[in-house]
Amino acid sequence: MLVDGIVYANERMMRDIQKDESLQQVRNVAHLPGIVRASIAMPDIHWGYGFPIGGVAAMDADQGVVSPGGVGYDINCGVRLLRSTLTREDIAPHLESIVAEMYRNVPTGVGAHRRDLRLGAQDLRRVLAKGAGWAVSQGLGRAEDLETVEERGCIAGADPDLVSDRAEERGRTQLGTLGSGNHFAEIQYVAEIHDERIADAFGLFEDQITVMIHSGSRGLGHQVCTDHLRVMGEASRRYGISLPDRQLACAPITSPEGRRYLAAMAAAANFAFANRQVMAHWVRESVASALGLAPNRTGIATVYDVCHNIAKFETFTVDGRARRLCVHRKGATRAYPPHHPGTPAAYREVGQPVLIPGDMGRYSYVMAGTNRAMDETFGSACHGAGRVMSRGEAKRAVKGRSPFDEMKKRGVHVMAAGIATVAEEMPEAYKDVSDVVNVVHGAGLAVRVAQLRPIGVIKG
Amino acid sequence: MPYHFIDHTADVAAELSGRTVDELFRSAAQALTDTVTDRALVNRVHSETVSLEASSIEDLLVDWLNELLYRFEVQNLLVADGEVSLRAEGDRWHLDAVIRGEDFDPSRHPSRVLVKSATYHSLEVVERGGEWHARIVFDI
Repeated sequence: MLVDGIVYANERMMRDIQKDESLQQVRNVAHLPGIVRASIAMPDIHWGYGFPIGGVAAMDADQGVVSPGGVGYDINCGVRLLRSTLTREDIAPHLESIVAEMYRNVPTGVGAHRRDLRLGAQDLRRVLAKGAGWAVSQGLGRAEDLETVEERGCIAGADPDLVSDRAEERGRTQLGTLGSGNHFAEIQYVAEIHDERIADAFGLFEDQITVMIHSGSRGLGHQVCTDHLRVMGEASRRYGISLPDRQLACAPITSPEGRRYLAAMAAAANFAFANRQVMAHWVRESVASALGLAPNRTGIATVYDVCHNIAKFETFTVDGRARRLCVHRKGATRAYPPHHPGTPAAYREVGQPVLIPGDMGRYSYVMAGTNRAMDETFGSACHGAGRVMSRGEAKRAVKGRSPFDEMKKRGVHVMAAGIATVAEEMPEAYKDVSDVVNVVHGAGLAVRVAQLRPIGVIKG
Repeated sequence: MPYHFIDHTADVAAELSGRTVDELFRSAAQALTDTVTDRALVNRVHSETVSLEASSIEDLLVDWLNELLYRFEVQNLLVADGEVSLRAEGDRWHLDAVIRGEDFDPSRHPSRVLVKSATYHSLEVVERGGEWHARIVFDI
């Protein structure tokens, strides 16, 4: 190991973490050339491909390597949170209609796509170059949405030419689709405010209706990862990089292979930003339509939008001097503090919102980034709950039960493309996200701001 | 059983088997379809060919599955079954296959879960006791 491995967890979590290969993966990442300070893991760590999920690895921008496994197949899988001027009471009589409208307007699951958003090759290239800004330019959202999106919804350096034909073909019919598995769009209400000052700055208040969207770059991003993993496998050998695990396939950041991956990854990330922007726009329209209001009467606006699978060039102080690093976050979220230039102007005094989705029965959280995160984890925090049951176990546990009815009894109206997905995604299949959030809060990496509870969900 | 699913916390893992390596690859295709929908409900309406080559049997297996995934996402094709023929030539493995299936129809084919990619995670292709075995993990 070139650096230490550091895991943020409580004792009970550590006992679970030690049951699989996660810690070995944290150790393996610590062997990568150019890694700075430590191979870091968040409390939601579990084992993944090469890099653990819930991992942060920052590499020297000149001497270090970049690895697609440190980003994940779903490039820029992330979360957008929308606030509104509506309350639980306002929408209670209309909840089922709202969910039905969302389900109608936001394609979910296997084979889903909206016919009115088929992209030609040139349109797709513009999406890859401009990200969420493309969607706004097409009337699918408002300019102010971009003010409170990580990187304003567009990562610099994207090169659409480096996205393969195959990736483009997969992406062309998938813009504005949710995906399946653990992706969701969820109507929530603000159940608890933990920090009034920060909540106020984020525009959050108790009983307020919010919407959270969890999705990524769909088949386009997955293909970019697949394409570059193959290239990196060969490149690792050619550059003489010895890897404890072939899934850590990587290349020097400054090499042609490294540069090409980063440019293609940025393009895929932009697709994901555009994806969440488009779906957010349709959600706004759906809520408005179900309530018989004009969309601007809902007060629906973007609180923030975060990536949790990405590699980005950021500057940190290491041993007293400023260094430009390539930070891999796979299942980890950026958590910039107050007064950081990357924190949106509207949140300058309180820090960047950190959005942590939980399961569809319990709660999700909003947190805010801190200086401690800048000092210790390259400005990073956790990303979610993590599963405690396999999909197979969850399906077996739910056999003979009615998952939709059970969720209804819990106060959550669910619509989904398939009963299998709902069974696999039942709350009992997940860890309690508040345990993860409490560790991050306790470690000072991010501050708890608000707890959001689900009342309506669409899934694929 | 040509394939069965094993527990994997976040994703879908399948244990594949076949009397020959050709049968193993056929099992892999079946397992992929059964992850996305109920393969028993997919009819053999049209057929297509697939030709691939790779430098290792593991690479070829991942490429085969990702090719079928691509055809599903882009052409809407669900594969019910196929005949697969593999051969090694020098240091390359070659695959030629005829796949049979039909277009995904949401009114007849249940939605299970989308697969992001076939992966190298825990990937193992071995011949053991006169049978071929592999484990493959699909990223969900």
